This record gives sequence, C-alpha cells and structure tokens, in this order.
Amino acid sequence: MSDNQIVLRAESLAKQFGTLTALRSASLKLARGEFVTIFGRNGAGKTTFLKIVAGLIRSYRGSVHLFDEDCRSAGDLLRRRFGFVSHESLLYQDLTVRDNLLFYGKMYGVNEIRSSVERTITEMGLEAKASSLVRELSRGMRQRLSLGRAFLHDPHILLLDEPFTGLDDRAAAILDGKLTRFKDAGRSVIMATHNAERGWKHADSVAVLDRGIIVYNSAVKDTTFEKFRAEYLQILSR
Amino acid sequence: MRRTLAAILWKDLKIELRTKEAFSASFVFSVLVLVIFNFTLDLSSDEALKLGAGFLWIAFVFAGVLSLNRSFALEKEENCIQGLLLAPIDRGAIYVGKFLANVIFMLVTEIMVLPLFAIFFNVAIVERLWLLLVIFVLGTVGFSAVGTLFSAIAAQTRMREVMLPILLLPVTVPILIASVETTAFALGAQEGASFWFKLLIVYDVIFFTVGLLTFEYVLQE
Amino acid sequence: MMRGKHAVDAIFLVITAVAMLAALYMALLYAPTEQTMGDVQRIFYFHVPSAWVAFFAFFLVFLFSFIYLMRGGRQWDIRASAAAEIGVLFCSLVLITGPIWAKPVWGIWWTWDARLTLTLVLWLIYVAYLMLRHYVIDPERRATFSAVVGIMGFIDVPIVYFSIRWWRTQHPQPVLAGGEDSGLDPAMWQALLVCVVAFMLLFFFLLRKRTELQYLRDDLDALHERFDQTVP
Repeated sequence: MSDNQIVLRAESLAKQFGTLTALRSASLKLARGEFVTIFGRNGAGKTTFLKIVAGLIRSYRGSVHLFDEDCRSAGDLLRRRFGFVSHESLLYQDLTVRDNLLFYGKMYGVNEIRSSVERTITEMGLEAKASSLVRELSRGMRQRLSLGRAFLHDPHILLLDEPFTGLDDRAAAILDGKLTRFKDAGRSVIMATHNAERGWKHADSVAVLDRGIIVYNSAVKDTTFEKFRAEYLQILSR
Repeated sequence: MRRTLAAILWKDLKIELRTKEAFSASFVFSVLVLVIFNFTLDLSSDEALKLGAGFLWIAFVFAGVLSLNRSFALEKEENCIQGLLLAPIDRGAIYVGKFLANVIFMLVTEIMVLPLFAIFFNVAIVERLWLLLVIFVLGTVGFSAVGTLFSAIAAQTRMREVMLPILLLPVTVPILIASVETTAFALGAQEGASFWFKLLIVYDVIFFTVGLLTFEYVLQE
Repeated sequence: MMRGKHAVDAIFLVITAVAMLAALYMALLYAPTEQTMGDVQRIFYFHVPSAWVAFFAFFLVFLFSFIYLMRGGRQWDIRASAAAEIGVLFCSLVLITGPIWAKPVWGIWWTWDARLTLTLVLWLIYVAYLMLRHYVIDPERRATFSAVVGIMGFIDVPIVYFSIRWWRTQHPQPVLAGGEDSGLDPAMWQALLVCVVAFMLLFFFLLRKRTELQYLRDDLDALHERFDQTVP
C-alpha cells in the first residue's frame, strides 16, 4: 500500500568505472510502503544504483534524498535506515552465528541487543547452530543468517540485490515471508533482479534499467505481467 | 565512536583468539628469522649486543607485515568490508579499531619473542625490561599507523601480499632506525638515545594523524 | 587552437634544448677544473641539479595528490603520476652519478651519505608508488590510492632525512670530504645555476609531454570502449 509520501528520491545518478559507464542518468522515486523492482540485464547498472543509494559509492552527479535529507551531506547515521541484502553474505567466517549478529547489532546501535539477536536467531531457524562458527554452517543456513543480519536493526528501507539468486527453498520462503511482513508494516523496498517472475511477485512498481538509464517505470496495477514481460524482453533485445 | 571502536577491536581479537593465525605465523616467522641470522653470522657476545637489536626488529618487521596482511584479508573474505561501510559508523573508527588490533597482535608476538631473543643471543634484558616494552609500543604504534592504512590499500590490489612490504618498508625506515637505536641503547650497547625517542613519538603522532585523515578515501569505491 | 598549442610546444622545446646545451657547455668547458678531484668532479653539475629536480618533482606529486583528494578530477591524477615517473627518473640519475663520482675520487662506490641515502629511500618510496599504480585496475581507485601514498611519502621525507643524518653521527661513515658544500668558485656557482635552470626546464618539458601522452591514451581507451559497445 502506498500513500503519497515520497521517502526516497534518487535523481540523475551517474557513475563510470574507468571507461565503462555503469549509470548515465538514473532517477527513481520511492513512496512509503512501496515495493519497487528494478529489472535489467546483468551489468546494466542495478548493483551500482543500489550501492549509491546505500552510500557505498559516490555518484558524479545528481543526488539521493532520504526523507528529504540529502544523503551526501547528512553524515554516517543516515545509513542506519537502510538494510542491504546481496549475494555476498558479509559474514565473518571465524565468528559464531551469535557473535556475527552481536557485532552488527553494535555497529547499528541496536537497542536491547541481546534480545534482538536471540529473536533474529529464532526467526531464521538457527537456534541449534547459534554457537557454531559460520564456517561450519551449511549454505542455506548462511543465507538465512545473512538475511537476519540485514533485518536486525529494523531498517526503514530495504535494498535487495538479486536476493533470491542461489537461495535454497527454505531461505527463499523465509525471505518471501519477511518481505510480505515488511510491506505490511509500511516499509519500502527496492529490489534489483533480472528474474521477471520473482521480481513481479511483491512489486507495486516495476522499472527497467538499461544502459545506465531507467527506460521504463510503471505501477503494477497499470499493467499485466504478460504485457510487462513483453516490454522487458523488447528492451533487452535492443 | 568509542563503542564502534570497541566492537571492531573485540571482533578482531575474538577472531584471532579462535584461529590464532596471526599469532602463530608471526611468532614462528620471528623465531625463524632470529635463528637464520644466528647461522649466517658468527657473533661474539659483545657484537651480539650491537647487532642483536637490529635482528630483533627485522624479525618484528617481517612478522608484522604478515600480521597486517591478515588484518584486511579477513575483511575481504565474503566482502565483510562492505558490511562495515554500510553501517552507520564513522569510517575513521574502522581505522582506529583495526590499528589497535594490529598493535596488540604485534606486541604480543614481540613480547613472546623477546625471551627467546635473550636466550639465543645471550643478552640480559631483565633490568631494562620496562624500557624495552615502552620502545616496543612506540615502534609498533608507528609501524601499525602506516601499516593499517597501506594494508587496506594493498588488500585491494592484484599483488596484495607483495604490495604491502614494498609500500610499507621504505616509508617506515625512520621508525625502524629509531626503534633499533633505542633498543640498542636499552640493551646497553650504546649511549645517547634521546633524539630517537623524540623521533619515535613525533613519527607516531604524525602518521597516526595522516592515516586517520586519509583512511576514508581508501575504502570508497 | 591546435596550431597555437604546437607553437607553444615548439618554443618550449627550443628553449629547453638551448638551455641543456648551455648547461653542457658550462659544466664541461666553462667551469674551472676542481683542484683535488679533477675533471670527474664535473659530474657534480648533473648530480646536484638532478637531486633538486627529483625532490621538486616529489613535492609536486604531494601537491597534485592533495588536490586530487580534495577536489577530484582526472587531470590531477595524471599530473601526479607523470611527476612521479619523471621524479623517479631524475632520482635514478642521482643514484647513478653518485657512485660514478665517488669511486674515482674516494675509492668507494657507496657511502651511506645522508643525501644519497635519502635519495635511495625516496627512490624506493616512489617506485613503490609506481608499482601500486600498475597493480590497481580501476582508474579511480588507482588515483585515490596513489594520492594517499603520494601524500604519505612526501610527509615522510623530512623525517627520513633527519633520522639518517642522526644515524650517521652515531655510526660514523666514511665522509665525502669536500662534497658540494665546501667553497665553490663563483664560476662554479654560475655553472651550477645554469644546470639547475636547464634541468628544471627539462623537467617541465617532460612533464608536459608525459601528461599529453596520458590524455591521448585516455582518449584512445574511450574510443575503444565506444567501439566495443556499438559493434554487436
């Protein structure tokens, strides 16, 4: 459900890596409670876009405004509002499950750390392995822990970079559930993926990033999956 | 800021306590260096005193490079450094936290190697022990201040293990000289070290400051 | 506009060439032969200016690196790396001419002379700088890393100098008696000055050419990139 309040405004983002232009002039608006999926082929600039929004990369031009505050000048604390999920787990292999979460809890200044950590462990179904090293976990468990890490500090805006790639069924189900509850709580999401079905499921709006620009942006209610997919394939074949 | 620092330091210490990778590699390597020096040079006991300080610090420097390399190698695994950059923390805290962890790891190695050095080279260390420890701290702080910064850089290049010593050693020449001179003084091999102590402190202050100021640039993409 | 640029280049080249010829004349012919060392001493007129130019080059690396970190801009990175390359070149000249001078005069190739040792350490620092650039692929990262190293390296210079000097007083080394600071004939000063000016001109000429070369390479890379993207 989205009302009119715009929580995030990304305007004319541009970034080059050497001679490779990742983003030319990408713009996107995100409303409160809105779920936007950005589609695009591999290397279209989706990851770069998310990283700029998250404050990891500096854009040459344009700006990102979160709750009307300019991200560039706002300082470090603004990053607390974001949660980031990518295919890299960002987990310390030689720390236990609990220690990893405790560490991130401290980094994010989470209140009542111990109970938050225990709650996350339970939610992700990791109670049995809470004192095991990440190195010893199965792949599926690591994925769940990584998800837990991203949600631990209760972010306002979730940034997902190909989150379903390589997830096992259990982890994918947990993520699905988390996203549904996240939306119901009125939080906003930007997800980047090249997978049309997955990306469509939770989306309120769909956009396509091609050659550094957002070339298509439409509310889900204004189109159908088949129509969108046809458009998407057409853009990909250009 | 302090809590973030403490958390980063705690994390590095915990990981090291569990794996003991840095300790064991540094310690064994230091001992190896001392032993090899003993074989390659035939030392009488009064020569040992003068040259010993030099060997000790060469051992520390090589072991220190190993330890510094590891410090950011563990952040590269699974791209954990991105986790730190996403967090709402001052990037300078990452520098200070890592810096402190590096100093502690190197100091532990140095303290463990010292008695072995005393035995191998027949050097009396007990009377001046406190002075030696002060020197170890001053030298290690300067070395780590530059080393933490450069290892963050080296970890992001193609030849990371080799790049760190190539960058680090020339720049740390002054602190190496000063550490050796003060250590030789502490062991009773020579007089007049006040200049060197001042140099150690000046070096530490300058390079910690410059390191802190420039570190955030090193981590951006 | 191109023609204007070519005109400036041509004039610059001519002035530099003339200055270098003048330097050669002054060093090899005009300057009087030194009493104790003989004609070998004339290498001094290339050794000392090279050292000053190298030092100045590294100062420029520091300056350009600082500007790059503060404001960004590819041109500052290009200038910094060009200055570092040429600085290393002149540094190498110092390190080569030093022993060539020392051996016939004092019988030893190397003495841990404060200035010479400083030059050696500087050479190592900036060679490391160049190696670092070689091993980083992304241009922006390369520029940032180099800038940080360039700044660190130069701040280190006075500290290195003083630590080597003090080390020498505690560990006496063979002294290069006479050296550069002992009394110089006015004619020798004139020769030295001309050489310094000539070498400085040479430095700036090389710097200009090297930065131009890099701009051309950048353009070429950009063209390649566009070509690769458009061809299916």
